[in-house]
Amino acid sequence: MGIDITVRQVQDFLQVLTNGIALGAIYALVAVSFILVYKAVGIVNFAAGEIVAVGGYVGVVLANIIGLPLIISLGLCMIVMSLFGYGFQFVVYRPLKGKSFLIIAISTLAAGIILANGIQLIFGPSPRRLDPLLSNPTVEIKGVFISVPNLIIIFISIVTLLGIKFLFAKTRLGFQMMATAQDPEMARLLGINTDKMVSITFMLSFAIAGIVGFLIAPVLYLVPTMGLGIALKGFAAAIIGGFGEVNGAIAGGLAIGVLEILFARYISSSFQSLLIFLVVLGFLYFRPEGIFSREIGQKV
Amino acid sequence: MSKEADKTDLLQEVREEVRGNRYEDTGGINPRYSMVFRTVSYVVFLGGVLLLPSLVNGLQLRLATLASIWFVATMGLQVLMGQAGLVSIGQAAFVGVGAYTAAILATKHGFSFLLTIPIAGISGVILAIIVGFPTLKLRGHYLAIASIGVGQIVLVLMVNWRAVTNGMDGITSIRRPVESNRMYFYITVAIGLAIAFALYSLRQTPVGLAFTALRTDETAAGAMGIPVAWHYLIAFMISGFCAGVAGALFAYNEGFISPYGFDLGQSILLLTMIIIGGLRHISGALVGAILLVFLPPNLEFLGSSYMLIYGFAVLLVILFAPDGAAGALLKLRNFLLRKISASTRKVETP
Repeated sequence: MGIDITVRQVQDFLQVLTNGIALGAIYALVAVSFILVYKAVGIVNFAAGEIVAVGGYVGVVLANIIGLPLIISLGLCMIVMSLFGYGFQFVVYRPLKGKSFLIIAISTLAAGIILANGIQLIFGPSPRRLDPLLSNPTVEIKGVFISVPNLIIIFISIVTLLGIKFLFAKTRLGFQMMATAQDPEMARLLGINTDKMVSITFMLSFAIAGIVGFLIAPVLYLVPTMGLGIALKGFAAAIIGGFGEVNGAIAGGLAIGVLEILFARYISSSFQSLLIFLVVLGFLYFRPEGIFSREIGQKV
Repeated sequence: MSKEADKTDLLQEVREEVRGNRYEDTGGINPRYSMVFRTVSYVVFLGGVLLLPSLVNGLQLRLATLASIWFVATMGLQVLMGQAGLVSIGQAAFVGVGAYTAAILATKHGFSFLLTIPIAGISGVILAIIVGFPTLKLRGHYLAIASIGVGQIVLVLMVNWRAVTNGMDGITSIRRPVESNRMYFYITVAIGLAIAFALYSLRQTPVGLAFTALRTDETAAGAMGIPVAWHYLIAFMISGFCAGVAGALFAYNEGFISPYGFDLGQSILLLTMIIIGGLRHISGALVGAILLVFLPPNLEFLGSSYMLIYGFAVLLVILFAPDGAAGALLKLRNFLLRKISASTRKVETP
């Protein structure tokens, strides 16, 4: 007896694994994007997925329709999205201060409906996609074929996440943002301009969503209704990560991406979202504080 | 007799205390007019329902039946969102589970209508327990997120679990208990009104009061000794029951079901109904269901983007008029009654 594993199977596994990591990196970024807002102002943004979609379509307009080089398009996309984030807070955050969770949740959901259908009105319901970067977008390393877009996704995700880590670990701005998120009253007493910090948080969150949209546009097709599907994976990553932890969200995102792809490859491609949901339910039952256990406190 | 009245007064007081505000300002209204108005409006409503099938064409009767089915599903959301203050973005999944349960029992196992309706409701309750039990101990947003997940999962199962659901082909030839559209319309309205009456009575019970307390201030309610998670679970179970019953009614009405009718779009439609109709009142579910069933044929010029209008409508209502259309109607009624009371008082005083 014994299990025969051929070289081909190992190569195949490694290929599938890279796809999973790339997808997981996307989910991690989505989760980080809305956790930043959640931590800063306590709002669960149910339009998070639609914002990613907007980012993707902005990328399509810049790179495909206007025809700018990709790297410039990415930069412009982030700028456009951060301006969008700056505006967004005046619709679903500032007028809603002190309102109940229900009202805030419904407002962000309505904003998502408006965005999704606005996209549909402008671009039509048929799928769009960014032109791929290369004509033959795979590289071969010892028989393992890895798609270049996936490598780019992994690379840019790592850069983005390291940037966020650096922001919160080393810079004055990051400290001020964290202070505002933890205790706005106290932060204000210490002379921090909390309104500005909230604005910056929204802009950062939306810029990350813009990156995500831009990254997935060449790989997955963009459709106006893609939002909630993506948001759901981001939410799942956040729950696995303990809802509110940036490190947890990254781990959760990677776990979900890898699990989903491996499950689809080796077990069943129809029931992969069932698996993710069961994992999330399992976490809620047995470990609601997330992978990196930490007591969840609740402010009164 | 007077003791009974005292009790009701006390309950009334507690209720208003718990709410923290009075939804209806009944000051300056002669209670007699209020009662006359209520009686008249009930009579007009019931008369309207009885006469409706004779007055409208077949298509409109179909839409009216559909409105009363969605009324049942939306009432569940009223309890969950309007009373307990929770958010569910997956109501269509519960409707779908009810519909499939009823359809499978009726077509494959020959269950009768009277049996499948409550069983479909119970299937919604079971799904609510599975989802609600782990999530409702946690903070509110977990349920909202989990409910989107449930919507996806139920859809995946409907499409892919072919042995049971027959996949995209759906389940066909579900036979109604009555042939005529008129009778089926009466049946759906009767079931809707029975549930509405039950839910209306529930508002006065300790459970209903606890919902209100939880919505107003979860922490304070918990500190007062109200079992928070348990009451949230009850609200979610009620919501699931209503959705399940609505699903069964829907399955019988259409005679054919497929995964298509139970997706996220339908969940958002049901949510839109209760927001626009008015979260605070059970009648909001009725107003919302009627509005959103009869409006789309008039919005055809907008093409597939009429959801855009719904999005704006929901945002505007929730921000500026959270009591919705039903709240506006009640305000109008009170305004008219106050006018009438004032004018008759002038006549009497000199």
